[in-house]
Amino acid sequence: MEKYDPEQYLMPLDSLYESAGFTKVFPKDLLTLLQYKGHYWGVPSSIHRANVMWYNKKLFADNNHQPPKSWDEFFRVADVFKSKGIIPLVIGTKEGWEAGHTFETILISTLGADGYRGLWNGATKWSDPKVTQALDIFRRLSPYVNSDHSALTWDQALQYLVDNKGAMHIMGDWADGWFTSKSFAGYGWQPVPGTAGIYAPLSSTPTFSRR
Amino acid sequence: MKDWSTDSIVPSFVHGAAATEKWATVYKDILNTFAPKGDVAATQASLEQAARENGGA
Repeated sequence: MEKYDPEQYLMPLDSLYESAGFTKVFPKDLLTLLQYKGHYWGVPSSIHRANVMWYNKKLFADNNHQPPKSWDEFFRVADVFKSKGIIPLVIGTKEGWEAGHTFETILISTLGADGYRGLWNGATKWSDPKVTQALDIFRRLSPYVNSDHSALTWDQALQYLVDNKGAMHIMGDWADGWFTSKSFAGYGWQPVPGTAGIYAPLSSTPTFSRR
Repeated sequence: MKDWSTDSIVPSFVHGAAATEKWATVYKDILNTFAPKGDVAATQASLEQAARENGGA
């Protein structure tokens, strides 16, 4: 928000939030996120969830495994898939943000909602052992991902799931539309391991110019 | 998704909801460097420095 220099260029929308009832119907945590310098400057038109793990249902069923709820479970099932020549976790890092996206979902899993929020407002130190733990989990993922990840975008990497060659993928809920566009129905989703009960959203949020 | 109404909501950093764009760019670069090297201590030190320079701790 800060890059738009809202106090100079944008209309504060506090009265709209009151009259339209947004302050009553939006979740409290979301209202906090939407404020900048004590005012509302935009209205979210779409909300996406970031911390989603997508998986190939057939590969899990064939191997009698459940999608992992914790990172310990993740690495156990990842070893099984790897031993059978299946890519446990597919990822594409071509566009430069995908590794950061994956890592922030791991930070949420080790720090919890409050600890993770604190990273961005100074309440949680980046030297925290739980950040070390998250980096360690991230480092341990590398033997389980596709070797061509830097050449692929996230959706190109997801083709491994559609082709039954890859088992899991961490991506926002927009992946749902991509699967549908491929007429692929053999996928399931759940929160990223360790992040059940936490919703990491992002949104397109139109604003209104002062002029 | 029913989780929307009951879950804790946290900001996504890499997509611009949690911090300044400058900080987010540095963060993304650090993580992209980490992926091939896997040096946990050096990466954490870089993340700490990025936080100090951009209003975190």
